[in-house]
Amino acid sequence: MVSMASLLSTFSAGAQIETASWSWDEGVGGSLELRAVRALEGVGLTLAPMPGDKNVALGEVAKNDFGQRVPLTDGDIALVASEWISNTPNVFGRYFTVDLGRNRAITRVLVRPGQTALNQPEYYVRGYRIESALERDPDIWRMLAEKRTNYNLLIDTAADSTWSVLNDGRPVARMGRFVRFTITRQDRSNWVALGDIEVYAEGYEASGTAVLNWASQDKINVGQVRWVADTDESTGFSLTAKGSSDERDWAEVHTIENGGLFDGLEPVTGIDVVAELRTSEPYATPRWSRLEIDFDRRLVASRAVGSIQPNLVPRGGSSRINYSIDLEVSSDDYGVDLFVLDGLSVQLESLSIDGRALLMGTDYDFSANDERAQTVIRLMQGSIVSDSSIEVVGNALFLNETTDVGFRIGNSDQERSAGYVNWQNGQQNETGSWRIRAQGNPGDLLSSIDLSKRPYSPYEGEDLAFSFVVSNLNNPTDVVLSLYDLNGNRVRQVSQYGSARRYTLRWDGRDETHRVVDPGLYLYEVEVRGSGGENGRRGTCVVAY
Amino acid sequence: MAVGGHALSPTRRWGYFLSVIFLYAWPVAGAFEVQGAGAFSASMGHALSTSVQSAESVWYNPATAARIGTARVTATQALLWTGVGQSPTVHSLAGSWPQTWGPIALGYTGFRADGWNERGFLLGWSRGLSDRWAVGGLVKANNWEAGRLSRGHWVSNIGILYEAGWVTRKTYLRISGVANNLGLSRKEDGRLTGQRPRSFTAGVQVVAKQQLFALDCVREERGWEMRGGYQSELRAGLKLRIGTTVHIEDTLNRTGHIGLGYEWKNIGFDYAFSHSYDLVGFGADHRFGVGYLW
Repeated sequence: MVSMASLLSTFSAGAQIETASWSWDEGVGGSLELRAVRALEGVGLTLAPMPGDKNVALGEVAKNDFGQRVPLTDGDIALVASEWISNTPNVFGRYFTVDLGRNRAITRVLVRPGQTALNQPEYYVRGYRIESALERDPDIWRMLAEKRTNYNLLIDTAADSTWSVLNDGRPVARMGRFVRFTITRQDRSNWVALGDIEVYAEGYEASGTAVLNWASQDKINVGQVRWVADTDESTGFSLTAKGSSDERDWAEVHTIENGGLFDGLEPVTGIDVVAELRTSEPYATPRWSRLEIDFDRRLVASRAVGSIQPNLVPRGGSSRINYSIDLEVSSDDYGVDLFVLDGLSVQLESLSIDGRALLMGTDYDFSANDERAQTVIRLMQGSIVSDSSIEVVGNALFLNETTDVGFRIGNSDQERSAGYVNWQNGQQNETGSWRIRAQGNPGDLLSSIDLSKRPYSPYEGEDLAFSFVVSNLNNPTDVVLSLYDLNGNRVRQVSQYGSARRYTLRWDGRDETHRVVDPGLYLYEVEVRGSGGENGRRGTCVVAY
Repeated sequence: MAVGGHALSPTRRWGYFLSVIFLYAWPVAGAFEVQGAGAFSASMGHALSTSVQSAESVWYNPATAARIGTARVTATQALLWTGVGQSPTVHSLAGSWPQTWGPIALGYTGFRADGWNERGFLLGWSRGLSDRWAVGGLVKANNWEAGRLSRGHWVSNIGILYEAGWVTRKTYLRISGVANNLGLSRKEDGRLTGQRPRSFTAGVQVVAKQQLFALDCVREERGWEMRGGYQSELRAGLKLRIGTTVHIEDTLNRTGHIGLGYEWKNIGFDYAFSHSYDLVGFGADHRFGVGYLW
């Protein structure tokens, strides 16, 4: 192997990051589509007020007094199929509860007769009571409307003036998640047929979206995405973004944290942003007042495509993999001296550029992170500033049925000037694949536990590392290390959240109060939460100093 | 040490013997005090501060030797936490010999696991002050080794035993109090030594017809431990024992114990099975003991 310094050059870069910003007061660059969201001058975007004709019970769950579901919120009153018939006279005390899903500011309740009652009008309700209950007190019912003697087929609290709380003759909205309709008067000769219960409310819509499409003049590498949104415990705001030409379904696009990096394939010539505003209280709304998106017209590389081989590996063990990355780098680009291999923690064996191997420690170094399933490679002699083919060979553990991988490229000069690496997400080779399938038996849930030191001293500056592999775990959960003294007293518990992968849990030799523990023999137990205690691994470790 | 009017030669003999032992003795750290107990004491839930039935009781209260009456020795081999890969082992020896100036108690224990090696030696003396009151004291030399490191310390225990006597026509009562780990050195050069903290034990034992109940309450620096035991003689020489230990510190550890004892002529055999309710996966403790009574 020879040093590859001759292939790499140092590229000086100035600060190139620009910021596109949207302040809803100042108008919008690009197109903005609002669904159940409105723009308010001086405020920003908020959830839209609910239209007065929106039946919030539609599609929600309705149950009778036996807890059985009844078709009274399906928007239909069809004979038998979508109505409720008492099948008996003397209907007295029967009630129906509609769960609206969250607290609503209820202003009107309408109970439509079933089709049977329309055909046979004597099937009407003789008397009724309508109540509501809050989400936090579902057993405390407050009166909405009551009519002890009724002669109407259609029960409408807005029409019959039965609303219990009025202000200047107008109904006052009443908060509640649950609405209960009770038949309070019996009829000894006739049945009752109910068609639908409709509930109308005021306040804000439960959720809404704002979709922003922004086209740039050039190909850009998108950086941090930041926003200003006022939320509280009852309201929420989340944002996703992808390139305009990105064909992924929105469900596959990850939510971006405020200040986080753009997640889509790059470079892009436009960005689609979807923001979701949510509330769980009728009169509360999030307020979104500003959006900023960093971008760089200067790319890390004009094009970065790649693939990984093989795409089929044995499950439960370590396999050799080969990343192939083709870079097109022009003189306008920063050049590449940073790589992140996403989806896998790879122990690198070799790295070559255009077939020439680089020296580990001299030309490059790498760090593999099991917890983040990520491998970072840093070229130490300069950046790649011309078209090149990169081959990365290494070993990785495959425990899941499928592993989706990817890569990003970056430039450390750009990092120094901007304060953060504006990673450019690589694209999949047209013929290759970024998905690896693993076949075979995944093995035991937990491997044996390797301890980094025996005996361990907390005064030597290192933590005691417990390393092991969790296999055959599809849903992420807590993987917990518990340490006990010989009295059986638990001195410390550390955990990581994750699914099947290699874990390294570290103990600093201190108890829960951060006091260094006594020298002695300690018991440890590693458990995967939810898998049953019998799947845990247990052993002893020695603390001596 | 009070010496009676007997010739000095026995005292000197004991003195030389003990000097040799303690010259080569190193201190034992925390693990021993919990795990070094024998099969008899484990099956009684470690509620032994009022027991005068076994030489093992001197580990819990040195004053008990004053009431043991005859020379006894007990040896124990134990396998602990059988659910872990390499289970720790304990071997121990405890003896009590009546002397005219008060019984002498001796003990040795070794605890070994995963590169951790711990030993302890005990010398105790006790004396009955009256028909009801007895006092005793012991010194322990403790030592642990792990890799290239080792540490050793001396500590002492002082205990009293009070014979409350027949409180009813069929019920006999004993009460005890013990101060443990006096004169300990918890830190050395700014680092913990591994020595268990000072603790105090209050115990009560009720002896009824062929049955025995014992309860100890231990107050430690950072928690409590409640120990309870029951023994019933099923038939001549065969005893069933049930015990429980509840350790309350930052978390709770409840351990159940069950054991059998059998006496044949001057030899006694004991077995104890212990299992934690809260640390189920770590497996059980098995202790086998054999004793001789002169």
